[in-house]
Amino acid sequence: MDAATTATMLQVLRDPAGVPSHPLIFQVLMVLTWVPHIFLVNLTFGSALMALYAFNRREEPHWQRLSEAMTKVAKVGVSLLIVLGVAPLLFTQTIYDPQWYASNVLSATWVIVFIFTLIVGYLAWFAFYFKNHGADSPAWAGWLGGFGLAMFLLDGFIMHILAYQGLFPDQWLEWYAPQGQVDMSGTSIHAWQLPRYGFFLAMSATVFGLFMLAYADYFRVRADRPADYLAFVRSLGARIAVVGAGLQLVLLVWWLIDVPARLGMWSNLLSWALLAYLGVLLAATWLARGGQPGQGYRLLALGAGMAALVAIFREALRMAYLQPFNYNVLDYKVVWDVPTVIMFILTLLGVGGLMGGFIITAAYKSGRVQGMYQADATLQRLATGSLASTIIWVVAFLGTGLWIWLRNN
Amino acid sequence: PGKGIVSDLPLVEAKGVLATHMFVPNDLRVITAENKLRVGEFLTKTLCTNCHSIEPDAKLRALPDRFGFSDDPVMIKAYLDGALFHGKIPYMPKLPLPEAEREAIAAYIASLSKGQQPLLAARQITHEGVR
Repeated sequence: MDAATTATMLQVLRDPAGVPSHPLIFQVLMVLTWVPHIFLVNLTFGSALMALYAFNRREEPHWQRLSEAMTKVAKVGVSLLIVLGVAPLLFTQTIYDPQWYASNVLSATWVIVFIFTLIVGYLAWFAFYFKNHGADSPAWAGWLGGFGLAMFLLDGFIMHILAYQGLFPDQWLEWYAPQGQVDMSGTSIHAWQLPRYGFFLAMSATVFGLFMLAYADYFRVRADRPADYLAFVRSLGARIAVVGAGLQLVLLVWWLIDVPARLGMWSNLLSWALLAYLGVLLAATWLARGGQPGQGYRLLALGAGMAALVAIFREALRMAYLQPFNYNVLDYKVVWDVPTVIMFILTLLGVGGLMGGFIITAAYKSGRVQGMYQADATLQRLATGSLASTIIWVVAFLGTGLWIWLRNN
Repeated sequence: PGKGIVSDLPLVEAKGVLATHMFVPNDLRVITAENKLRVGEFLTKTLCTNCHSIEPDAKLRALPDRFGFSDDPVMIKAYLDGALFHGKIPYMPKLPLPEAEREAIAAYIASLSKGQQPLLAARQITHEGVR
């Protein structure tokens, strides 16, 4: 399909209802909300692999303790990455709906496979979690855990192809009807890119390594976490982060070489910014190899910055892929719906900020105390605030619905 | 119209699906005696299979079953020409397709019931059997 027809097709496939506020808001929120999602995807991959590796060395106390802890991290990680994956998914399907839906329909079977393998994989991980206690845990539990991780990796790959196929609208018709023969099965995978998927796997090593450094610092105040265990974790984390950052650098170069030259990514400032940032991250993790305590949070924040830069780079890349077809989210039809936008922002800040803040603060503070945790005044105020904001939200939400219903009757 | 959404139906009625749908393979854009069944299959799968199965023994409002397993395109097309064309079915959308596209769909749906015992004929046999 030629570029002009493809451009028309993309416009036709857009939602005729438009978006309820300026598309730039959606684009910025899509990039921002994707950061915590991918960060947790990375953390889950890394912690799951470490849990399994450490499980195989469970006769040694440090490894056994680490395996149990990382099994829990991966368990919570999957849950959070799903919850935090909803927002970027919704923003994507709002401004990139032609790309997202076309890709999903072309590989529809894999979209359904994604759901089932995620459920089965997560159940397998839970079985591993229930059985992974002590040095004499049964070996079969490890196989279940391995199956779980394999399913998570498959799901990551499915998400990769769904995002990637959306970048080639000029090829959709050929994929849909190769040589004029319509294939409605949805069983085919039409496009994928090894360096791109590999980059995110390498990023999992980096993020997980940095997480281990922060984990070791976090538990310094707990008497039941021996200093030699934390030093072991810290040293391991630093080495993993170094390997991860190095691999990311290599894979980013490969990725940039693999991307069509016409996109001009070598002359894009963001490509160089990301390469430079990864270089700094590699140097910072290299210096942390000594295992000195107290750098974990700083390095983890550096990792979060890297994820944010990756998110921006990924969006710039998508814009470059779609530029020949004149696809620009900023010219999306807008049907302003100011009350909805205000309610969204208030909900995000009010309920999201207070409730999210409360949960994170409670988890952070209670984890640092051995045994029963007694909430301090700040946490109590946050608890009251989050409860109040939720009640106000429910009243406002139902009240608005009732008001509109009564007004229209 | 709400949110400035304009209905596509007048365009479909004037030009048909084959001329306006972005994903139609080129050799199906114009109906010929050779490709008629393939066009019918494409249109049926595109327009009907969101709600209807097409296999004769399927359970989800299967099209052969809904047309009494008829293999008569004329009978099937009468439905597409009438109630469906004018949107007289409360639970189905209006579908004002051009004549040639209705013919192709009817031919395809009829072909799905080839080798099946039409419901109407089956009733006659039973009736005769009783008599």
